Amino acid sequence: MTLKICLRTFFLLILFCLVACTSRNDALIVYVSVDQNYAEPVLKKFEQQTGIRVLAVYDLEASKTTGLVNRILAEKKNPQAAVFWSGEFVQTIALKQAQQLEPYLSPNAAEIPPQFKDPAGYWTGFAGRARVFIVNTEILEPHQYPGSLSDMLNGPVPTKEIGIALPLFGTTLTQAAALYTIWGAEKTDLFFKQIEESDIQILNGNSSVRDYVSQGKLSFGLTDTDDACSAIEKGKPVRMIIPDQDSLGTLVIPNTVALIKGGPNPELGKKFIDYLLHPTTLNDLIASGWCHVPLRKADESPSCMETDTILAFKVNLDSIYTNYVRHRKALKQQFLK
Amino acid sequence: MKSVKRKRIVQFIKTSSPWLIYALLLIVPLLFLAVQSLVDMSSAEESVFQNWISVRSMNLLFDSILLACLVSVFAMLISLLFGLLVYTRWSGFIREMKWILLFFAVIPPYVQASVWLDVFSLFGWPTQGLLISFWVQLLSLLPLSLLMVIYGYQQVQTDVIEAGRLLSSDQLVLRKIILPAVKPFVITSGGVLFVFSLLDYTIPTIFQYPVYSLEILEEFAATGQVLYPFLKSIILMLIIVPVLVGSAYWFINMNAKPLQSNLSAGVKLKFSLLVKFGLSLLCLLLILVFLIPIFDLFFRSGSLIEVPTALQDNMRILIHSVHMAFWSSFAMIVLAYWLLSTIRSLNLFAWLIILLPLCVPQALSGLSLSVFWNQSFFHQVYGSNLMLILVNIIRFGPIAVLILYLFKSRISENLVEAGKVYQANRFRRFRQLDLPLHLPGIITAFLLLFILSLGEVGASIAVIPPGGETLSIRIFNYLHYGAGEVVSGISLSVFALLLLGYFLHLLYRKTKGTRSTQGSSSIKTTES
Repeated sequence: MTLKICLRTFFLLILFCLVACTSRNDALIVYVSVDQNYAEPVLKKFEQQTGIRVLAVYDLEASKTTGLVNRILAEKKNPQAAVFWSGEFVQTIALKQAQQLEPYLSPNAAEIPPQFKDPAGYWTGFAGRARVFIVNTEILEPHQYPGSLSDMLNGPVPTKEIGIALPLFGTTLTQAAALYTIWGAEKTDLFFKQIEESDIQILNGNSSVRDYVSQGKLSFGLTDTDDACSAIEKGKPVRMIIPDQDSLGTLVIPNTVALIKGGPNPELGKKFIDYLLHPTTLNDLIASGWCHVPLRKADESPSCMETDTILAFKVNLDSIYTNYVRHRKALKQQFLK
Repeated sequence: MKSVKRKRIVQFIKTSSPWLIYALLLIVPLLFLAVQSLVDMSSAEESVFQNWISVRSMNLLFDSILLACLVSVFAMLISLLFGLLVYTRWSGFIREMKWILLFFAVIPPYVQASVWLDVFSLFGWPTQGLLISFWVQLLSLLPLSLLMVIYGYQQVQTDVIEAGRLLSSDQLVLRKIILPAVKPFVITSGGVLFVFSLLDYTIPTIFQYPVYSLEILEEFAATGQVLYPFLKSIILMLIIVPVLVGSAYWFINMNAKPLQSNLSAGVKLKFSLLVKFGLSLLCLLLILVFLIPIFDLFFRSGSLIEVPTALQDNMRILIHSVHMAFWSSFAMIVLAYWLLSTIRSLNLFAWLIILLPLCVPQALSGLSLSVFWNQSFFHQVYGSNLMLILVNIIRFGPIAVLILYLFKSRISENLVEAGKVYQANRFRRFRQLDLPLHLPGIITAFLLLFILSLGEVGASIAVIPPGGETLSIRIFNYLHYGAGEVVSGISLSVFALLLLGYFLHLLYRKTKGTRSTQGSSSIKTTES
């Protein structure tokens, strides 16, 4: 009996030691909803430069960028992270609406256009990406390349050769919300109804669209600049086309960074936000291939882009969020039948 | 009177404690999630129930069942044949394959995914869809099935076989004695693999083969509410429970039979030319399956010079992952041992309760832990590395109980009773009798749990602590982003460590063999 008690006590002690070993008092905890291969070098560089230990949790592609937002909301009473760095803006605005963010106006955000930051400083946008077409150059001739979103339905390429990610998650859903803001409900409803009724391939994510087009399974598809760039850099027979550059423009999706309300070590969090918004970090993100629309002056230029200027949707990001909330359920019902 | 009452209370606490802990760690979080879902249900919209069973989700379910059936059937077939190879002691190399297999079983499934993705694209085979998902899932689950079936072969009574061989051909002995005896183990392994495959969304996701279990995670991602994934999980569990009950039925039945006290070392059977050809082909295929990833990794990385750099880059995460897998397996073994020490046998209902966590989809298990342990009185636990251990316990704890129970049922009751009579000191009895008797089961369970814990991703992603990323999660994530060089580096370091471990093991066995030879010759000298 004594041995059993000893063994059990020993076991419990070890478990508690394990808990104690993970002391995080002096560390900065960051929740990162940006592809890990791009975010990790930035965090490591920050650690090296400041000596601040960073403990990160990365979102998984499988949880469609909302995994960490749901986690932050669930941790409302016990915030674990100091900073949330997201690859897009809708989920960050959702956190602001849920009163999960703390305002912080970073001095390094002064040059960022007001369209891409919250006036009260709840979040700051930087280092943008854009929604683009990825085209297989071995299948399509230049005159067949799509120039506008409407070409997906009315262009020369058969609809069964076109791909789009399921518009229920990530940047595809954000783009849908942006279209509701720009086109209005009637035209956007019709657009998605026609997509659903057509033979357009509805894929699991933007990376699937990239892969299908790269492998020649599809002629073209709608994706993000980072996906298109990664295929171009790997030497795949693809080209990036930015849609509607002579009319409405395309959706530019800034990265966003925000301080979490009640999170541990907010001072370290503010230092990290300053670092992330610094022009040097912007250059690093452009060089790594994560950022293609800098939103401010940068020394680096994206290697895979054929143009320096992108015509972006002229919309307020908060209004896109409003439409995101308003239409997401209808889209879900439409596409998850 | 009072002291009798006190003794009864103490006895009750002693016997119920392990069950309470098992319930707290494995059952209560799931019940908590179920209650939370019921609460959400009262305020849910009608559309929730309308979308519960949609055409799309039924198609996904069909695709998932197809994949699980393929994995399960092929694994049963390969395990049956490979087990036969080991059992019939074809050659020293085959016996060696058993060890190689054990070492390579430790490779996380996502390393397999990475190398086979490369191999498939090299040969121009489809790198997305059913075929590659099936292949990688089969390879990642195969060790589990092999272990069960080889164990089954070892249960066949050698004297019955020898008696049979006197009267009829080896092929008939195989058909009439050996295969029927192994059948329950093969069927159980098939059932377990079907369940594991159906629950896994991680490997199919890498190869863009949409499965139903991913839908569960996506439902939570899209809504942020536990009700939606809970409802989706019910459908999956309705399929899994009968399969698991069936497997448990076989399992309990095979335990009802008296088993040999010693594991059979196998018999050398004579086969026809056709059977020999078939088995040789299987052997060749298995060797290729193990060699191809190694060659692929070394070719991809350029040279062996890359190994130290890859090791240096990934050492911290490797140690952390091994650390977590080790303590998870240790905790599960202690809990299972403690639990089984309070009972003599288990009925079907008790088995159902124990096995319940095995029926739960990975995403839902992870969610239940994040919901349950994120309470104000558990704040020290939530967000710590302990969450990774709890994930492994909720996912694989029932397997620890199953294996230890299987081995425990082989232990002679007389020996245990004799120990109680002749050795009153509990500590000595444990050290001299209980532990040696249970050791084969403990080692087998530990190895299997360690392998499974090392590869866990599906549930861990919901509770991963800050800075607590494991090797499997890292590879899984990087595979999605197509960052091949990082995955190669990690995979190469895993392979290098495993090869080192294997050669050390060979060296140890050789040294041990030399010593025992020296020992026996000295005995002979003394005797002479």
